Amino acid sequence: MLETNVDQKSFKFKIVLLGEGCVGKSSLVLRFVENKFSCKHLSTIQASFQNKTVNVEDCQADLHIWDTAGQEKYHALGPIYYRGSNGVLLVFDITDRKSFEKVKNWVLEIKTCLGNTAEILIVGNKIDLEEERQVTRQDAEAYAESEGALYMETSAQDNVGISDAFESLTAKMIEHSRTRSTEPPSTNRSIRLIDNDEAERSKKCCR
Amino acid sequence: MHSSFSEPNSPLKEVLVDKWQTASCSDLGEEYVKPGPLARAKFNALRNKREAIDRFLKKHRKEDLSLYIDELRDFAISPGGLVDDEFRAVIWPVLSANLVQNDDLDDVSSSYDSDFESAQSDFDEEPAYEESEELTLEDLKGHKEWNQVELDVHRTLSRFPPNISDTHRDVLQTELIPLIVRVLSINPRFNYYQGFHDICLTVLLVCGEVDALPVCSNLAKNGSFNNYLLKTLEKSVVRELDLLYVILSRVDPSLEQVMRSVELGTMFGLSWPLTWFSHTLKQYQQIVRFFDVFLASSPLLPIYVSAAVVVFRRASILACEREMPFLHRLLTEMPHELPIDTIIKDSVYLSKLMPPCLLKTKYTNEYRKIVSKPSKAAVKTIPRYALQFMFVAGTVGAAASFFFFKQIHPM
Repeated sequence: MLETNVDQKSFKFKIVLLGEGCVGKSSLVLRFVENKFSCKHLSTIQASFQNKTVNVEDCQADLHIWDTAGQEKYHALGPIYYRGSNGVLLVFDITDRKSFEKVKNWVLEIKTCLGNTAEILIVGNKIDLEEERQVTRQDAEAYAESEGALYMETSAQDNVGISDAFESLTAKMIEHSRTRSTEPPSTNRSIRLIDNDEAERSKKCCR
Repeated sequence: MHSSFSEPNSPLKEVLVDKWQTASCSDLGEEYVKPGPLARAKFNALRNKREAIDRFLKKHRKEDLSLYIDELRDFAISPGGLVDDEFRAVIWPVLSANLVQNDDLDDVSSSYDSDFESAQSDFDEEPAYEESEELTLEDLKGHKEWNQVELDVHRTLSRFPPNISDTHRDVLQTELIPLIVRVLSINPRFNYYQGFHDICLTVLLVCGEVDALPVCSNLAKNGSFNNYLLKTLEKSVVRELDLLYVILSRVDPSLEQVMRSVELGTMFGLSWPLTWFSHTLKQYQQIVRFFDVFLASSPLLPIYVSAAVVVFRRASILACEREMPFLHRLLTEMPHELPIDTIIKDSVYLSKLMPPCLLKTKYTNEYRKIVSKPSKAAVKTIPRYALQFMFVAGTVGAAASFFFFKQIHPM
C-alpha cells in the first residue's frame, strides 16, 4: 500500500471555495473550468459543482470543485460543503480589506474542523484593480506563510494566475496524499440534516 | 427563439405590438412554435381565461377585491395563472395582503424549536403594515445590509427580461435597492439573505415601485420569507427542504432511495423556496406563473413544487452517474422547458394528499424510521414501505397515487 502511494499517478480531490460574497469565487471557477468571464453572472445561492481534470507533472488529478455562497447568512452551511475536502481555496478581494479579514476567520474554522487533512490556498483576486488595492501582497503572503498556507494572486477578469493557482494547490494535495497516511476522511460527501442532533453537530462543524 | 414568448406584457407593454401574442406563452411552449391543434387549444384556453379575469376585474372594479379572495386564488392557481402582468399588478397586492397562513401545527420549525415561543411572539407583535415614519434615502443607506444588497442588485443583470432597455433596467435597479432595504427595516431582527433580492425584483417588475413595497412587506412579515429573514437558514429553509425527502419517499420511493443512497442532501434545492424559483428559472413567464401560485397557496407549497420538479426529472436522475456531486449539479440546473402547469397541478395535488400538518408530524416520523435503518436493510424496506403506504392510505390513496403517476408519466 505504501509503495504504491509514491507511484500513484491519478488522483481525485475535492476542493471547496470559500470567502466573502462578491470576491469572485464563481468567476474563478468559471474561468478555470470554462475559460469564460461573465459580467452578468448572478450571486451564488446554492453551491455549485464543477469538475475538471488537471495534469501536474506526470500526475493526473480529477478535481471536484465546490463553489459556495459567500454571504453571511450562508456561512453556517459551510461545513456541508467543506467536509471531506482535500483542498480549500479561500478567496478575498484585494481591494477590500474586510474580505481579507474574513479569510482569517475561515482559516481558523477550517483548521478547527478539518485539522491538517486539507491544504489551504489563499487567493487574492481582482488584481486587475491594482490601483484600488487595500491588501498588499507582502501582508497576505506573510499571513499565509504563518498559517502554512499557499498564497497566490489572480484576476478572473483578465485570466491571470488562475490555472497556476489550481495547479499549485493540486501539487500540494498530491504531496499531501503521498506523505501522509492515505486514510481517507470518513465521509467526503455532504450530509443531510435530518434531526436536531445532527443539525446541532453540524453547527459546531466538527465531527 | 423562445425569448419573445418570455417577454413580460408589462411594464413594457408599449414595446409589444400584439398583446395577445405574448400571453403567458411559456404555457404554450414548443408546440406553439409549431402550431397544432393542441397548441391552439391551449392558446384558446388561455385567451378565454384572460377574458374571464378581465370581466371579473371590471365587474368588481369599485369594490374591495379582498372580498373575492377565493376567486382570485382560484385564478392564480388554475392553469395559466393570472395570464398577464397587467392583471398581476392588480391582483398580487390583494393576494399578498391575504396570504394563506400556516396554523401553528403548520410551522415547520415549531414542532422542534426551542425558541418556538419567542419566534411566535415576534410574529404576533408584528405591527400591520403602516407607513409609520418614512425613512429617507439617507436613513436607508445607513442600514447594515445596504452594501450587500447593492452588490447583489448589481449582479441581477441576467434576471431582467431580455426586452428591457438598459436605461429602464438602470432605473429599476436603482429603485430596487431602497425597496429591499425598506422592507428589511420593518423589523430590526430581519437578516437579509442573498435571494431575497430576487423576490423583490420579481415583484418590482410586475407591480412597479409604489405597489411593490406593500407586497414585499407583506411577504416578509407574513409569508414563508418571515422565517427565512428572522431565523438561520438551517432552522428555517433547510428544515423545510428535509420534507422534500418525506414527500418523495411516499410518491416515488425508488427515486428517494437513489437520492438518499448517494447522500445527495437538499442543497441542490436551496434557492428554490428561498427565491420561489426565481433564481433558477430562466424564463420570466415561468417565474411570474410560480409567483401567482405561491401568493395564493400555503407557505409550504414551494416544497411540494420542489418535489414535483424532482419527480419530473426522474429519468435524468436515474440516468445520471450515481455520485452526489453529479446529481447535485444535474438538479441545480433547471431545464429550459418545464411543464409549469402540470408541475403546479401535481404539487397542489400532493399538498392535499399529504397536507403540511401531517407531513411535518406523522409522515416525518415514519420517514425517520426508514432512514434510521441501516442502508442494507433500507433497500429491502422500500417495497414493503410502499405497500404499507398503500394499505394505510387504502383504496382511495391507491387510486389517487395511480392518478398521480398517470399525471406525471402520461402514457
